[in-house]
Amino acid sequence: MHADHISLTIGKKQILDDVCFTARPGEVSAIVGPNGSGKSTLLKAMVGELPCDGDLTLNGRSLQGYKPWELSSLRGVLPQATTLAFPFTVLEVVRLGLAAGIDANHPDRPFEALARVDLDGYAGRLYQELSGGEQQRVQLARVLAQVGQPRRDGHPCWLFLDEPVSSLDIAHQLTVMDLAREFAVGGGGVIAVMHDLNLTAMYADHVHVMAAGHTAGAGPAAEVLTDARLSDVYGCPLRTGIVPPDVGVFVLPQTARA
Amino acid sequence: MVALSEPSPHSLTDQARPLDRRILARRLSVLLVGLLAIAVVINLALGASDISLWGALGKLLSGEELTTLERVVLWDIRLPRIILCVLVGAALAVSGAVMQGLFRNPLADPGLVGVGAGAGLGAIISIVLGGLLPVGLQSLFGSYVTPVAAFVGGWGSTLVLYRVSTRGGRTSVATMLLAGIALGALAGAVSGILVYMADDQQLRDLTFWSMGSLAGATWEKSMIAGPVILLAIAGSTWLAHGLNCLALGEAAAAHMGIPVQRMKNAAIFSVAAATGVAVAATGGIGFVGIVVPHVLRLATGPDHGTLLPNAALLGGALLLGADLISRTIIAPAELPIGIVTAVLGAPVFLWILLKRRGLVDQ
Repeated sequence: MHADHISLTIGKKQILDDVCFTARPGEVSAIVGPNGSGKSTLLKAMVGELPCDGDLTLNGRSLQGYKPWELSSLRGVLPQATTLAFPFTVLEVVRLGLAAGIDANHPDRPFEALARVDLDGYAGRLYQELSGGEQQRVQLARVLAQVGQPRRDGHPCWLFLDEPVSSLDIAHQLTVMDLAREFAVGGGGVIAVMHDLNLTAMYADHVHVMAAGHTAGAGPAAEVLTDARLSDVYGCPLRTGIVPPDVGVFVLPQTARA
Repeated sequence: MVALSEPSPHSLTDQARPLDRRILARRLSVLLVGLLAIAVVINLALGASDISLWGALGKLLSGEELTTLERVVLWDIRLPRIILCVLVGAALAVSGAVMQGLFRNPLADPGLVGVGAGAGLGAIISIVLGGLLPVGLQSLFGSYVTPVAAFVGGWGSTLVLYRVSTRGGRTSVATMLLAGIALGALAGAVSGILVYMADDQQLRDLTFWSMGSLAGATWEKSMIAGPVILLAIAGSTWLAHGLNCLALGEAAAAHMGIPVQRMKNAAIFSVAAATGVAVAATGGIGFVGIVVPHVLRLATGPDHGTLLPNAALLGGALLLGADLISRTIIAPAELPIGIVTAVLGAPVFLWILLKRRGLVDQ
């Protein structure tokens, strides 16, 4: 996935200014940055939700060259939050994703997808009655039902995740990031907008830091997430890999997978 | 010990696999076909004239001639009325369901948000100003002038309504309902001016048309309305998957491979066609498009794949029931059917509002 010289203006405000972004299959690529830095806008521009200047290519082909139904079996997009207009059950929502994918109407696929996001037994529940975190996982199951395999016909498939763990508890944050990891290991590409820098450091192969619509750094997590860059971008003194003395309790997600 | 703690495989599948509402909906379809058939027979048998349907059927089977009265009442009066009634009921219910899917809101109904009024204005224009058309054009369109004009009026008002109330793929329900009031008022005002301008013959035509009743049903009207309505219904079933995906939002639907803009255009077109033809044939009949889809969603869920065909069946049966009431309750006079559907439907609308206030107070 390449995005070359992406610029986007909404009204008079320039949201993205000449951003170049590359994600490779087999890797989890994270987009991080402070609020309003253009992370989600960059993701929306890359999936074609927002019109922008610049070139977008997926698997070496221009994004405009794809038909909607070709893209839907190649690429899944998880939005930040989804409200439903009608009382669909969890199963029906996941099945919508399945119908959009390549093996529509596979009877077991929706249940497998629900099991992967730890929602066994939720199939008959009404989506609108679930908590925000549960709804987010249902949507992920829908996307997984749509793009089930990391590779198809020799081409990598892609997941675009907009803050996939924003309303999840720490255990499910790890579950979801493990799924992303697994998808990348299988040869697919994952592009995720992230807020949590610890999870980003744990799971991302490639980190793209945004600040005020510009790229403030891109590369492997260890090289990009530096004291100087983070302090500068977020506007507060931050230090990586340091345990400050006498701070009381702190919990790192890394401890769960150490 | 181990054997006890393991749940039986049967109960496990039951727990993991909830009842598929698609199966439920298919069973309901069978039930609704039966209901519709019963309603057809009752409407054929009952009416102001006390001829016996069974007697007539017996005569037909034994090869006897029907009396003129029997033939006129059954074949020329009741049967075309039943067919038009089923067609219009199906058209209104399916248009309502499609429009609700398109606007992502269960309160959208062509009759309430000005589409019916727009179609009505088109029909009135055709009656009052149709004479101004070149004679050649008049004879070309013939009886189709009013339906075509109603379709154009309905289409125009749906487009305006959608543009006004939907921004960035999100429909504001309050804006939609208020815009519907404004559109309805505007269409009503222009219609009023036209009625004022109309001559005596046109006034007679208008009065017959605007009674909103099926009393004027003829074979000719059914033959004009039938193909359009059946096509619109068939077309909207083809839109079902797109409408389901649209419930997740426009962006999500696009990522699921739906050509959203084309799908929306097709939905607006089919709503306008079905509503326009129905309004041209019978005048405005309200609330069928709200009540039928709502009841079906409660029963078998919002999946448009089953909702739309079931809405057609239930809409037809419901309007037959309403027509039976309108024909018999003050017989030999008739209550306009729009009054019957309003009495049945308006409370349901209020009930939906009460139960789901969040729909409007966003």
